[in-house]
Amino acid sequence: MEALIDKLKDNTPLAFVTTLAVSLLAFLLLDFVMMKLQGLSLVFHH
Amino acid sequence: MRLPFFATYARDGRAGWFHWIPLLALLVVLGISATGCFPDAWAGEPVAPAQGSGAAASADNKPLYGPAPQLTEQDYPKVAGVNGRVFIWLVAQLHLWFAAFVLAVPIFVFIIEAIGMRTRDKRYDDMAYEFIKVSITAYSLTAILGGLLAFGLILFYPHLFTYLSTIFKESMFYYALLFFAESACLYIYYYGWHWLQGPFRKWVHLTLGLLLNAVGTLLMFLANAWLTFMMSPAGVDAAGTFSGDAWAAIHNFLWNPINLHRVVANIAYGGSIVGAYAAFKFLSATNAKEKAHYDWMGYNANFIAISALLPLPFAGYYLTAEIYAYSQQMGITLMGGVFAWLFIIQAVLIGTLFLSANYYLWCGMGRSDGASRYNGKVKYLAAIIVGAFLVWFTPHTLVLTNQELQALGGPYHKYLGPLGIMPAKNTAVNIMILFTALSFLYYRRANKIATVSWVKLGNVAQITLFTAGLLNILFLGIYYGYFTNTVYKVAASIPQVLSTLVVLIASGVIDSFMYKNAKEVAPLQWGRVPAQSQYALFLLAVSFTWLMGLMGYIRSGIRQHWHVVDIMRDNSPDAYTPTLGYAANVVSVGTILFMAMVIFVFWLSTVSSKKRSPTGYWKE
Repeated sequence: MEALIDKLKDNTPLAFVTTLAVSLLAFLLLDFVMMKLQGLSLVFHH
Repeated sequence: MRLPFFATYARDGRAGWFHWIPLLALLVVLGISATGCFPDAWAGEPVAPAQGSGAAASADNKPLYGPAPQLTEQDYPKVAGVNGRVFIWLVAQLHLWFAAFVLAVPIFVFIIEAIGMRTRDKRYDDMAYEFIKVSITAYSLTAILGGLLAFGLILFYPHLFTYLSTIFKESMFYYALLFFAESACLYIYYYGWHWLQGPFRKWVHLTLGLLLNAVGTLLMFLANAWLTFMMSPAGVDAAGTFSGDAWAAIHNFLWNPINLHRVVANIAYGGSIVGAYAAFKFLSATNAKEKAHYDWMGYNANFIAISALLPLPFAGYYLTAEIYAYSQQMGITLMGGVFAWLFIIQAVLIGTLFLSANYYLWCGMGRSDGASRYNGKVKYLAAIIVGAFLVWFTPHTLVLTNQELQALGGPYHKYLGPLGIMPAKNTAVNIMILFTALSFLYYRRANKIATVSWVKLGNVAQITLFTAGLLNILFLGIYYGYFTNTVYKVAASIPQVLSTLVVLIASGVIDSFMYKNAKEVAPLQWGRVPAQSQYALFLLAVSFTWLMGLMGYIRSGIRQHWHVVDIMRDNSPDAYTPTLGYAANVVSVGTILFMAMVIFVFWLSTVSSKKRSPTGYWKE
């Protein structure tokens, strides 16, 4: 873990892509849970 | 040492009108008792009970409570030349504005005092004292207006008042008594400020502040129960017959949503009013030291106002959702019916709040020599916030003439029409909140240089957090807002709000760790702000006042022709919804009256510091 953080510290573009991907996934998970709690799915089916 | 205004008064034994407060509280108690003794004394004819009511009965089958009275026009006493509804409307609103202010100030005074105790920085203690000093005069005005409101209700709406005081007799009685506790806590807290200094005594003083807040909040919660009962009655049957369960009547459907909304809104409002006070003192300051002090005070007041403003829209959504849940008819009247257009004015005022708060922060960056690093970014923040503001107040439908309808090709504008629906507005307000938080982050960093080794990584984490949060808010707003049905649209607003909260909290935590033990670029130059920034503080206070008046009218107005919804009908000649222009004018008159009274309070604080020694007047 520490090695990864050290690597990210030195490589800004890699750090940006990694944290953006993690953040987006985290927000998607949040959307999924909140919609599920309201009895709805993440994707709307017509 | 220069004593504050009220300390001078007390020392000279000229407290005078200050003693009105307990007297008024006593009058309120007597007023309640009197109406209970002769409920029909005000009306010309006896009031007919509702049909088919199953009244609550005592052991000997004698009914304890009757149904809600069915009134006629003659049951509403008239005073020549006075419109009862407008009188009650204005007095209730003025009472509420002052009450919101005096209930909010002790909350943040308590917090500031605690910060002062923790940091042992006396500036915080002095500022907390000055805040509470401003609220003391306002406290008297609150009590006077409360007394006037009670008398006004007894005079103009005696049967409604009697009905409500029958159901809420205990809470009204203890409400009046609680004023003694409130007054005692407030006076000891204020007058004992300099007396209760030192390691142990300061704790006693802080405890008094806590007690003051507890009593004040309890008072507000009790009064909230009476008004929410009128919107969502509980503890009564369909005819309005009280079951005898006072807690059920208090704990009605909309009680807690209003409690939450009012606590948050009061803090924001109290912050804005003391911010205006600081701006007033800043602009009238004659030396750099005073300017620096009031600039610092204004900044703290603005910080309090904005901290409470950010979660306020969410508390508002919660209240509105609960209104819909309780009664769809009331909900639709609120936002889809006659009051919908007032929400456009609300949107403009909320946008004004955000713009003036941001403008104040941007001006405040002038205090720091290190702000030049961030000044270039302000124009982008301004563009995004203004863009979100424009979406926020874009109406869905317009009031149009036939020619205008033809020219438009229908009731909705081709491009702007889609921006009129709620998903667009939810998205816009979340973006406004996010970028206001970003403005604050820039302001906070302006005078600092981070010293931790992971600065780059921390910045990247914050940028990606904001980017991902923003993308998620846009995804939720656009996908669910325009490509799904209403159930999904409404449901998506919850993860939208949570996304904003996650970004605010997470970026705040990262920032506080990143700037822990940070170096200062140069000492902060308090007082080095343009005068325009102070006018932004005035704008904040006026916008808040107007907004509260307008939304208060809407909340009360959605009862339409009911005193108590579906239980007790309003049969007075004024039982109609006035035109929007008329309502807006009444609210505006109220705002002007309130601001005039507030200016009077501010002026008093200036007068108290002036001293004259006329020669030849007094015997040598």
